[in-house]
Amino acid sequence: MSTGHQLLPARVYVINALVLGGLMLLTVGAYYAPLGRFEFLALPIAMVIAILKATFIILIFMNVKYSSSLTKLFAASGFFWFLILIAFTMADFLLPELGSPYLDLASPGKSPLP
Amino acid sequence: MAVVTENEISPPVESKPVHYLNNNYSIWSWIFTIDHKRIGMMYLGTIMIFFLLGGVFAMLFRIELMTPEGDLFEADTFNRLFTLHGVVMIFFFLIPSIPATLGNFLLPLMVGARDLAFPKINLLSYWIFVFAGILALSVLVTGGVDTGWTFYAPLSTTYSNTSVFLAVSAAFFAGFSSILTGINFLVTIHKMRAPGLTWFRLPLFLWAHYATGIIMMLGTPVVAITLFLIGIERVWGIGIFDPTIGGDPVLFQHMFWYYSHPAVYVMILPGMGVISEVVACFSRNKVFGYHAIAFSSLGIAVIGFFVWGHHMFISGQSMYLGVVFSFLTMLVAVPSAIKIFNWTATFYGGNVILTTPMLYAIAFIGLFTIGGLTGIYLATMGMDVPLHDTYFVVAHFHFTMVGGMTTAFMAGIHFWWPKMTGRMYPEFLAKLSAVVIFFGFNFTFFPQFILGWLGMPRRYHSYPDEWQVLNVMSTAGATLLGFGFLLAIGYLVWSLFYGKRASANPWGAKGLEWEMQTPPSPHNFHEVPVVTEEPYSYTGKEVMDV
Amino acid sequence: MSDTHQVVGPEEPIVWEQYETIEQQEEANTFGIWLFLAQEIMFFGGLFGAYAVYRFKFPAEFHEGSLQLSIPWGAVNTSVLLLSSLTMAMCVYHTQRSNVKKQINYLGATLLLGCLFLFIKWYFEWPDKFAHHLVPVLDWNPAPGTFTDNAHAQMFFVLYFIMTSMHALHMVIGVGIGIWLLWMSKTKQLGENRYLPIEFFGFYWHFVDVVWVFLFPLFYLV
Repeated sequence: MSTGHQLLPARVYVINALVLGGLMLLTVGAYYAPLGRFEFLALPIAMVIAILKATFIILIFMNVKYSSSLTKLFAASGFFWFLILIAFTMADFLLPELGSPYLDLASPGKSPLP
Repeated sequence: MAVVTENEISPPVESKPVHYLNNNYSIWSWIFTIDHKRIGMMYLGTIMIFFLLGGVFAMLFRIELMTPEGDLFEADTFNRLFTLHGVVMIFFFLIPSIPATLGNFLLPLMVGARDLAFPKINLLSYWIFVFAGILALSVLVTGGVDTGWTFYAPLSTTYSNTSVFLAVSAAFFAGFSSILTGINFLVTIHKMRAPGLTWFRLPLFLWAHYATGIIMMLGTPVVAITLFLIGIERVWGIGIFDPTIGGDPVLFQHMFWYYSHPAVYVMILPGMGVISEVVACFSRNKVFGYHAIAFSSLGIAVIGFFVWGHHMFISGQSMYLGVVFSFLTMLVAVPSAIKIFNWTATFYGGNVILTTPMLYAIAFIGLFTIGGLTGIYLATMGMDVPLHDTYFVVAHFHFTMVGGMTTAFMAGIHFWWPKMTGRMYPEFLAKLSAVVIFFGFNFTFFPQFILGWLGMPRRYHSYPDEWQVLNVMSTAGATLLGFGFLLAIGYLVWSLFYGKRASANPWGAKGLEWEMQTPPSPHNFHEVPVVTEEPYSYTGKEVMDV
Repeated sequence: MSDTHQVVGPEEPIVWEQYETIEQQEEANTFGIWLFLAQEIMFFGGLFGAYAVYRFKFPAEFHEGSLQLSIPWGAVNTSVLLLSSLTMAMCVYHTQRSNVKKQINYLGATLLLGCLFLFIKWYFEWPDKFAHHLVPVLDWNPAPGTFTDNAHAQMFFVLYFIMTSMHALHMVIGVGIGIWLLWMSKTKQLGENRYLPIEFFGFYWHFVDVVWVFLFPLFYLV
């Protein structure tokens, strides 16, 4: 199925751009917003907003919303495969080694050597 | 029967049939060809050169290993020899081998198309491969590289005094070539199948190449960026893996093996595709469990991305993650085992004909099984601790890669040789060379299992005296193996000029590629064929025309 | 077509030799470009993976490093790219309707915005890093007291320069391809029967925008 057969009206693109601009302001705002006890949420919030922005760009500007399932599948697979890399690699650094001198979660970057 | 027009099968006797080899003899028509068949043949020639080069390196260090002392080469030189053997064999022979040669040649024919989806990108992919090859050769003349084909940091980034940058660049561009080939294959299989050729009528060769394309496309970019990071750290000191600024060499290993493990499935899956075709043809039987094999190919491709940590059990990786990787590695063995059982079941009830390709296929089934089972030993974390970086590992991957992949490559080359070149190879010499290769291979690598079990480390140029006997046996086997391959290459080249002319379907095989003239015409099909048959619809009454 | 509507580019879609129909060709090409983008995701993914590991290991140093980056310039750059994505989408829109003049204008605007992004990066942001001696390898000499751990802070800047350079390289390549497409537009080769080159360039451009969408919070807003 050709993506071009779905000719979107121009205003869809303009609205999309405005939404993205708004999300960008939200990102910056969330950075400056005082979170207090919830400081650890700063990164997840930023990532959620970034993922939303990426989703809007991909679905609307790149026309994936109106594309064939094949396109959707392979576009999604790229991100999924990236997640495999990140998840397992991070797992190596996150999983505690019980009794191991090599992991100190309180100061992860600290070398175990004297 | 697929519908083909008259003038395809039997051209008029008076005029010499035009095919893809003789339609234009000029050198430019080869350099700028967008004919997938010509590109496949060019790849074949280039890959064979690298195969021989890799073999030379192997011979050199096997000679060194005949004696316990490091007396022929210094340790540094020895390091360069095994590194170059690995780099050349993996990036310039094993990974491209079947996909770039047989895959390129056969994919459009099997799918019923006039060419791949992107012929010019196919050509680009070949010339990028050649460029990568030139970079690899320039590594040779600048003193080689000694880091091992695995380029572990910080040796590769900081401490090595060899041409690491050129070597990683060569691998980088070879990878780029591979990505383009993978994309081409995926699009062709998805979008260019002939009418009536549904997914479950595809030859299993194509399922295998589809799965291979997925891995090539998704895995190779990661090793590309990893090698890029090695390169810039080496040349400009931008230390992303540098421990002095907090860098982590184990991160390199994660990123490197994320591709390099699926890469071994890039190597073996096309081989398995070949075996499916050869076993079906020479058992005169449809492949047992077609769907199981098709889905197993996809299963290997997907699960293969979840197991890379089994190369890193003793690297300092989290033990708990190691358990996960160990379990997943056991899991990835299952689809391969399913295939082995199914091919064996294909023999049953069939009419087995022992041609050269079939000899190689049978050898594959036995040798790959041994290779795969020894992989289970290594997947067991506890076993891997004493076996890691010993000759047990070396034997394991040579059983799968040489006993498996290269044997399948030989099977495929012999099976489709008449179609690709229009000539038959000499059957007696071919069988002789297959037997020589089989015995040579086993004498080379079986002793290495024992050596690894006894504790001999890999990548060492000297060893304790008590292991000499096994090492000598291994070198003797390697010599035999080398002769076997040289004999094979020799008679194949000979057959190009003096071999008996082949008919369109000398094996009595089923498949779209066998229904066209030999060698195929430049544009494959005059009319798009319509497929109405299931694959491998052998009745047992097919006649060989050798 | 109404009389006032001029078809720009080929009168009818051109089918390449290996394809049977134009639909098959368009589907194959679209699938192909998406596979290319999927592998680009994996290419950048390796870098984001390295970032994730080091941010986890050195959270404090990453925060300190991030303070050295200018959020206003980062936000401006992000807006520039988002706007360029809009102009790119509009360019595709007009190509699909054979409006050559608007096609050229929007493509030109996209490329100009891309160049503006690069200009801001190379004339404001990076020289600032040099001025503060925060460039690994070339000029690493941060003022004492800037960071609690100079060595680990350097890792932040190593990643910053590698990842933004890789992104910038993709932008430069994009601008190069865009200039070629601009020539094709000017010579009236692209229109409603041949707009896939522009559409695919648009995909590439949007993809590069998506990468920046993640780079911005990960480096500037730690």
